[in-house]
Amino acid sequence: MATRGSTSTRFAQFKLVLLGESAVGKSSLVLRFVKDQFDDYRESTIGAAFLTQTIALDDATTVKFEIWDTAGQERYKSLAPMYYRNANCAVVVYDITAPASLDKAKAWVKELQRQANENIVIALAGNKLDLAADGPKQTSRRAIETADAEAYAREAGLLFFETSAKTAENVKELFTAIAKKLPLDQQGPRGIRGAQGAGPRGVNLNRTNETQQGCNC
Amino acid sequence: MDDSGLKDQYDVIVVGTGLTECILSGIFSVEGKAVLHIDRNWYYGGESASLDLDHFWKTNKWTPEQRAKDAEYQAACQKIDSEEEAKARVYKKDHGGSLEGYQAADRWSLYPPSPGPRLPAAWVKPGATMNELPRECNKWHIPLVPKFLMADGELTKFIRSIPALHDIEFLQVGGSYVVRSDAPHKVPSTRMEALSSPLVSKMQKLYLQNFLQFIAAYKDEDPNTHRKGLSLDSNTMRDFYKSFGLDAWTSEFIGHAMALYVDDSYLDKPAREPIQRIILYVRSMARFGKSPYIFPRYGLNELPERFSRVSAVYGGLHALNTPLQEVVYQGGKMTGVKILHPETKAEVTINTKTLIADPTYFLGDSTKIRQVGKVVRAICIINHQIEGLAGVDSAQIIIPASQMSRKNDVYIFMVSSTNFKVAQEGYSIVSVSTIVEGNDDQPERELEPGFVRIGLGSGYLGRNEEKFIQVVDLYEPVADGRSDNVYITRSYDATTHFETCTDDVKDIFKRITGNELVVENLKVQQPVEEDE
Repeated sequence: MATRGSTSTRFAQFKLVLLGESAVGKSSLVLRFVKDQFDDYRESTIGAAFLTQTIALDDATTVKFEIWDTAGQERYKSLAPMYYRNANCAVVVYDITAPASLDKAKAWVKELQRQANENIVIALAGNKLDLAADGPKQTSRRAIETADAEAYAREAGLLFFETSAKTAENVKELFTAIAKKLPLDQQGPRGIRGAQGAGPRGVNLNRTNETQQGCNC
Repeated sequence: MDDSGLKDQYDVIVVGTGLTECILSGIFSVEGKAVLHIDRNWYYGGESASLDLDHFWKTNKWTPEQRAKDAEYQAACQKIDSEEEAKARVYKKDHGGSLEGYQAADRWSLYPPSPGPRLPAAWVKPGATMNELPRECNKWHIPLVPKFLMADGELTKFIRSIPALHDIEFLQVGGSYVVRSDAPHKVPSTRMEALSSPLVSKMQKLYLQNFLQFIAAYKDEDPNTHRKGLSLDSNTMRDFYKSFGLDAWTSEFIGHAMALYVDDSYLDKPAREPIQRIILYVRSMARFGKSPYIFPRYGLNELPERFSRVSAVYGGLHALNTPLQEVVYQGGKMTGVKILHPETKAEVTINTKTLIADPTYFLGDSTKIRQVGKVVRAICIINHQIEGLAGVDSAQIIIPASQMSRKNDVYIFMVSSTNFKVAQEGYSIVSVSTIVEGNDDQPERELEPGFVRIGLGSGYLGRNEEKFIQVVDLYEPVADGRSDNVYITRSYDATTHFETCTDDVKDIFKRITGNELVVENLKVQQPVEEDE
C-alpha cells in the first residue's frame, strides 16, 4: 500500500459488484483476487458481507475495492436493488464453456446500464479460460469465441478479459484495468461511495453518547 | 456453490419479505438454520416496502388491464430508443466522432401512447427517455408504512449487533413536533427544553422538569430512582401524572408525543409500559440531538433488503416471484408448503417444521388471522415546505386527538430530498395517517386536520403535487403458532416506529425456539475483512 501522509498519495475506495449466472465462478474469481486461492469444490463464501482488496496503481495511487458477492441471491432473480446501488464498478462474469451464460451476462449488463449509476465501469469477464487449453490431457471445451465476446464488449462499452480463477490468468489484470478506468479524482472522504452529493454524514449507531461530529470511519 | 438449488426440506420457511420476516430470516440463518425465504412479489419489503416511482405510480394510478399492457409498451419504446441511439452512432461515425449538429428526435413523440396515465414530467429529469426512466424512477423510495427508527430502540440494537449491516447509512430526522392550537411545537424532552417550551404553562414547566428528571434518572434495579409511594406495576400512568402535578394537556403530549400512544386507553393501565416508552423516547432523543428518530438515507427498503442479504450470506435461499400455493398439514400440524418451483414453475412440496408468514398470505382465513383495525394513509408527494417546521429536512408531527375532537391521533411523517435519497430534488414525501374511526366510505376525510397542517386542506394540491389514499386492514394471528407450527407475524401498526415489529420478532423467536432472543449473543462471525 502506498505510504500515507504524503500529499501526493491518492487513496480511493470503490464498491464493486459481481454479477453473472450461478456457477460461472464469480466467487472463485474474487477469492483468487483477494486471497490468491482456488478450490475446485469450494462452497460459497458464508458470512461475508463483502471482501476488500487493495491494489497500488503506481507509487502515488492506491485503490481499494469493496467487493460484493451476490450470496446466491441472483439465482432466482432475487437480487435486491441495494446490491448495485452506489456501485462504482461491476464485473459481469460468464463461463466460456457455457453459451447461455453469455446471454445471461448480456442481460445483466443491460440491467446495470438501465438501473445503476450513470458512470459505472463495467467489465465483462469470460471465466474458466483454463478449460480452453488444448493439451495432452484435455481438449478445449471453449464454446464462446473470444472475438465474439470481444466484439459485443466493444459495442456495449465494456472492459473485456478472459480469465481463469483456477490458474490466476488475467485476474489481477482485470481488476487493475477497472481501477485505471475509475475516476480517481472524484473520491470523497470514504471513496466515491457516499460522497456523491453533499449533505450531512450519516449518524454512527455505535457511538454511545450525545451529539456526534466528525469522521465515523 | 451447491448447484442443486432448491432442496426438499428446510429448517425454517419464511413467506413474505416484510421487515419482520426478513429480520427473522436473517436471525435463523445466522444461527445456522437452513432457511428458504419466498415472496409472491418481485421486490423485497412486502407491506413495509418502499417502492420506486414507476412501480408506485403504476400500482396506484393504472388499472390491472393497463398494467397488463405495460411490458408490450416498454418493449416498443425500447425498440425506438435502440433505433434512435443507432442513428446517433452512425451520425457520430460519419462526422469524425462528433455529435455536433445532430438533431435528436423527440423520443416521446415517437413512443406509442402509454397504456395508463403518465408520471408528472417534473418528477423525473427533464426530457428523460424511456431508457433513462428506470434510473430516474429508482431515485425515489416511497415508503408504504410511514415509520422511523427510534435511535435507541431495539431495531437499532439489532443493526448494531450484526456487522454486515454496519454500513447502512442513517440520518437523523430533523424534528419531532406536536400540534397545539393549530401550530406545531418541538416536543421538549430535557429539563432545559421544558423550561423554554411554549407548549407548557409557567406552572407546569416546573412539574414537567421534575417528571423529566425522574425519567432521566430512572433505573429499574435502583429503588432510590423510583417515585416514592408509586409502583410501575400497581399504579396507573394517571396516578403518575397526578403525583407529578401534570395537567391534562401536559400529560396529553407526554402520552401521545413521547410515549407515542395513539389514544388514551393507556392512562388506566399499569404505568410500566408508558414509562418505558417515555424512557425510550428520551434516550433516543439524547443519542443524536435533533429528534429521537433516524431514517435510512436511501429509504426504508434498505432494511428488508439488508436483512435478506444477511440471511443470504449465511446460507439462506431466496426466491421472489414465488407465491405460496398451499400449506400442507398432517394431523393438524403443518408439515410443509406447496410452491411453484422458481425456475421450472412446476408445483413442488417443501417440507419444514417451522413456517413463518405474514398475515396477507392468509387473507380470508379466520382460523388463522383476525382484523384488529383499519388505518387510512395518504401518501403525498409535495414540492412546498410545511409551515412551522423551520425548513427541517424530515420530521414527525403528531396532532393529538384532543385537538381535533377525535379518539385517535393523526400522524404526519415527512422526509424530503434535501438529504434523503427518496425523491427527485425539490420534492418531499409526506404521509398523513390515522386509525379509521367512522364507517364512512371515504375514510380519508378523517385525515383532513393533517392535510390542513401540510398545506393541502380542502382537497388543494399544488402544481405537480399528488396524493395517494390507501386504506389498510391490520391483522394479527389468532393462535401463537405452537400448536400447528405456523407462526404468523403481525401487520405494521399505526405507530410511528418499528418497536412493535421488533417485539413481534422477539416474541416469534421465543415461541419457535423456547429461548429469549438476545441479539448481542447471536453467533455472528465478523464478516468484513479488514486489511488496515
